[in-house]
Amino acid sequence: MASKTPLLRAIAQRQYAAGQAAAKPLQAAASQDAKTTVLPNKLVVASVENNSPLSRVSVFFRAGSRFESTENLGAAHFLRIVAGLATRGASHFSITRNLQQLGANLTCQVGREHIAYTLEATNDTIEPTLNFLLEIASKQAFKPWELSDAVPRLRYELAGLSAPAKAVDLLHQAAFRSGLGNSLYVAKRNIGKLSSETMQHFVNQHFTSARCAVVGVGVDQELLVPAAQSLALDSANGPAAIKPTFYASELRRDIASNSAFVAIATQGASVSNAKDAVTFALLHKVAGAGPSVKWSNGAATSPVAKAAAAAAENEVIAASAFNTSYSDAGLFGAVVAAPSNVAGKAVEAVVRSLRSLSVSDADVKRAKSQLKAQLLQETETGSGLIESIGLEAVLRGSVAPSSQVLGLIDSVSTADVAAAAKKVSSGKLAMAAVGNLSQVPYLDQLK
Amino acid sequence: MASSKLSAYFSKFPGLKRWAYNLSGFNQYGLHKDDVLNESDPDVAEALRRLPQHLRDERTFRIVRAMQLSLQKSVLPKEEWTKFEEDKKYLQPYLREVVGERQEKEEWNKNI
Repeated sequence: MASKTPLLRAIAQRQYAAGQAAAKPLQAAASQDAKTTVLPNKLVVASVENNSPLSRVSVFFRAGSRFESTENLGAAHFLRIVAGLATRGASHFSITRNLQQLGANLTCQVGREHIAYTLEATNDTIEPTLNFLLEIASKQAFKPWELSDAVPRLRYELAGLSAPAKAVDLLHQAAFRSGLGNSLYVAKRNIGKLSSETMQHFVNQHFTSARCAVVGVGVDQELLVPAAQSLALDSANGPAAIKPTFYASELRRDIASNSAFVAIATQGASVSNAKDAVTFALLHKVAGAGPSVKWSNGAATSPVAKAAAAAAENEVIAASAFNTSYSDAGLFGAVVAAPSNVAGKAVEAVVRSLRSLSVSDADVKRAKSQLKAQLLQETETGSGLIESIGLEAVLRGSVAPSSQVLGLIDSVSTADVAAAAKKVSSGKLAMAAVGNLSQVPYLDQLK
Repeated sequence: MASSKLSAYFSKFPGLKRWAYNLSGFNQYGLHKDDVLNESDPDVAEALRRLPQHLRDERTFRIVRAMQLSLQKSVLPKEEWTKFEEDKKYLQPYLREVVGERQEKEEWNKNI
């Protein structure tokens, strides 16, 4: 659930030739750019009225895992697990049955910088369900027995974490240590420490109106603004994020496995400089962001995948470049999943290819098409669209129209991407490895 | 529990409550009223499950002390008997919540 380049989530531009729409027409609206209002208490309200029969409303807070302190590590994860349990005004049973009666769906999503409570309902039932959403997002009761009853669910989720996910999580911990380095998942040793008071304190500190955005897709801005105003939140700014420092260190976790999962990265671009973030996203595509053809290994177009495939000879191997940008830091590198006997050679080959990425005009042209397609496809669905505008609204305070983002992608030159490749070739590396690490080299053995 | 009308009637005679409390005798073992509720009642069992650890420990101590006294066929000295005014209804908030939740469920099942 790492937040990827929130600025770059474009909003699809649909040019339908339909005429003027009457009240609640069945055809999509002409534009999918968001309308934004910032309330006096700094709460951001954004919506896209695309006349969809399904309406979605999300309440986003700038309260992800990076804002956890050593006393409450894992609070964001636990918050997600207990979303929908008893609030001050309604019991868990009442919330569940009422939402079922209204045909609504409640989900909760947590990233390193945000938490989002989303409600989906048909557009004629979204109004009564909004009250539940606001209650669930801001008035959690954290009853002690409900929290302890939720612990088995927490353990189940931790047990189901895949090794590549753990590797990427560890990579953040190696590279940033605290703040952005906090794990997205609660550590097993901390499960009993997250008491009702700890959770309430985390919510009180971070669920303030200055850190909140209420976004909707398929709803009217006129419906959303009064609802957002009725959110009774403190108006403090809340604690500032820990400024991230990049550490070139490594973390290794040996587990019983036939494979090794290795994640390596140098410093990438943060979203605060939009052009840099786009440039690194393009470099990601140049280096190989996964196969374009299902079940292929992507070696035809990806230098990283090609290097790994060559090193693995006849073994099945997967490798792709990895890029992520947060509001004040980023990581660029690669993730390799290899059988343990060839993992060492594969990792060395992948690092060599990252250090010597060649960037031609054709590469950049292809990357631009791929990036534009990816962004437009991600925001084509209602759920992708609401996540995109929600992240922008809560992390930047405004939502960029799609034309602006696409224009920014076009404005990046081959020289810019080549400069980014040079930064990657000379930057210090951070590394994380999970699995059977008998052959995996240590960080000081990699150039 | 007496119905609210009956409770209102008996509230007019506060001495009656105290007399009935002292007659029942559990206070001579140092127990409170909530210690002697029927634990196999599902509402009481759920409310006891929700009791915070320190209240649970105090309750356990009182019950063990009472069992010891009962075994020895004696009671506490008169100064240590639980007084009517000091009887702490520690389980009532949790019990109220449990009963309310059950009633909410029954209302839903009646109508839907």
